Parts: sequence; C-alpha cells; structure tokens
Amino acid sequence: MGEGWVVFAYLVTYGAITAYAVSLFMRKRRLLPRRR
Amino acid sequence: MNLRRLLVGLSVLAVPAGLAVAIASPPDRVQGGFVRIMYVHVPSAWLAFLAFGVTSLASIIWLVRRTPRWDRLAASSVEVGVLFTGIALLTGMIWGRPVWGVWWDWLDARLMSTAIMFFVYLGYLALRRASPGPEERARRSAALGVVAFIQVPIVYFSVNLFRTLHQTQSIRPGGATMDEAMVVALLVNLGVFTVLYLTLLLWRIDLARLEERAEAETAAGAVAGSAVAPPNLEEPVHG
Repeated sequence: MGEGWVVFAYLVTYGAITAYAVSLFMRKRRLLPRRR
Repeated sequence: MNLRRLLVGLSVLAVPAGLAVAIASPPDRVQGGFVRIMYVHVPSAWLAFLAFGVTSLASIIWLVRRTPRWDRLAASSVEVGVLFTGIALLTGMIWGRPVWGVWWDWLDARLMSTAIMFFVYLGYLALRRASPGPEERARRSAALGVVAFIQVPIVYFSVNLFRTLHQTQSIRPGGATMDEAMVVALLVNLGVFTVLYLTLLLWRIDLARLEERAEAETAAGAVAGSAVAPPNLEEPVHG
C-alpha cells in the first residue's frame, strides 16, 4: 500500500540532493581558471 | 582533499544502505507503507536544524574573531539547510496527501513555522547577495544567522505548544513511540543524511572560497581600471 507515494517522495528527495550537487559542480567549474 | 573523497565514497555506499534499511523496515499498523516516507522526511528536518545550528555557532565565532572562514561556514551551512528544509516540506506534503487527505494545512503550527523558517533562511541568502562588500555582508549575515536560529526550537516544539494536525515527536529524550525496527531504520537514515550534509557542506565551502577569490580579483581589476582610465574632459550633462 502506498508504494507510488513513497517512490515519489524518495525521487523528490534524492533528485533535489543530486540537482544541488550538480549545481555546485557547475558553479565551481565556471569559477575555475580555464586551461588551454 | 582526502576527507572530501572519503565523504563522497561514504555517500555512495550510505545512500543504497539507507534505501535497503527503509525497504526492509516493517509497515505501520495504521498507515501501512506510507510510513517509509518518514526515513527521508524526518532526517531532512533534523539535518536542517543541525545546519542552522552550525550557522548560528559560526556566526557567533565570526562576530568574535572576524575571520572569513567562519562567514564561509555559516553561509554554506544555510544553503544546505535550506535544501534540507525544502525536502522536509515537500516530502511532508507528499506524505500528508494520502495519510491526512490534504497536501497542506494553513492552520498547522509545525507546517507554518517550518515554512516561515524556510523563507527566513532564503532571506538570509538574499541578504548576502544584496550586501555591498565582504565585510559588510559577513556582518549583516552573522547578525541574522544568530537571531534566525530562534526559529529552530519554535519549529521543534510547535507540535507540543499547539495541538494541530501534525503529530508530536516520535523520538524524544524519554524514548520512542515506534517499533524498534523503525527506530533503527530512522537512525541509519539519519546517519546517511549526516554524511550527505557534510559532503555538500564541504563542497559549498570550496565554492565559497573560489567565489571570494573571483570577487577580490574583480575588485582589484576595477581599481586598476579606474586608475588608468582617461580623464573625462567633457562637461557634465545636466537634464
């Protein structure tokens, strides 16, 4: 009972954490000096 | 560097372990499998409290020592704390819809106090963007970082102070109101979220260091640019 809601909650949780981690990585890459 | 790698490795191992423990935990007698949302909802809320506590402490230390590292720690912890508060709010809504029959209750003390806390700490991040210069930014943020922490006990005790829809704490100093297997699953997932918090916090601090360096370089470039700029010989235009 309730598997759909539980899966939805876990997707939201780990999706948000992954999206934040990726945003940190992208922001860091933008600030690092470019290598030729 | 090694600590960051260790934490990333731990995160990669911890998340599947947390999921496995949550799946293996028993269903609730009343709400069945929906109870498994607790293993992400409650740790998110606890880690948000911890994150804002770290901000408050780091802000106090900054006010005493005035060294940039404490400002970096305070601001980085707020960003991660806002993420976890957002997750707690969203997973709470997803849990509330099938169990309570509503996504949100505007008169519930826990829901409303958490939402206010979320927006106050978003305001902290906005304040940092609006403040001129690193010193002024750190001073304003430290003041708000200390004062805003008062919300954490208000949110935590809101379920005891006001008897509204949200249930009271399942784990409290006197013991737990849940089955032992559920307590174990909750504590394992609390460990998982603590590892995730530390990983994200260290990454955010690294980014803050880079942002400060870029800001200093831009400021130095602007000063040098104005020193070599040609004088303005034209008459000022009056409207």
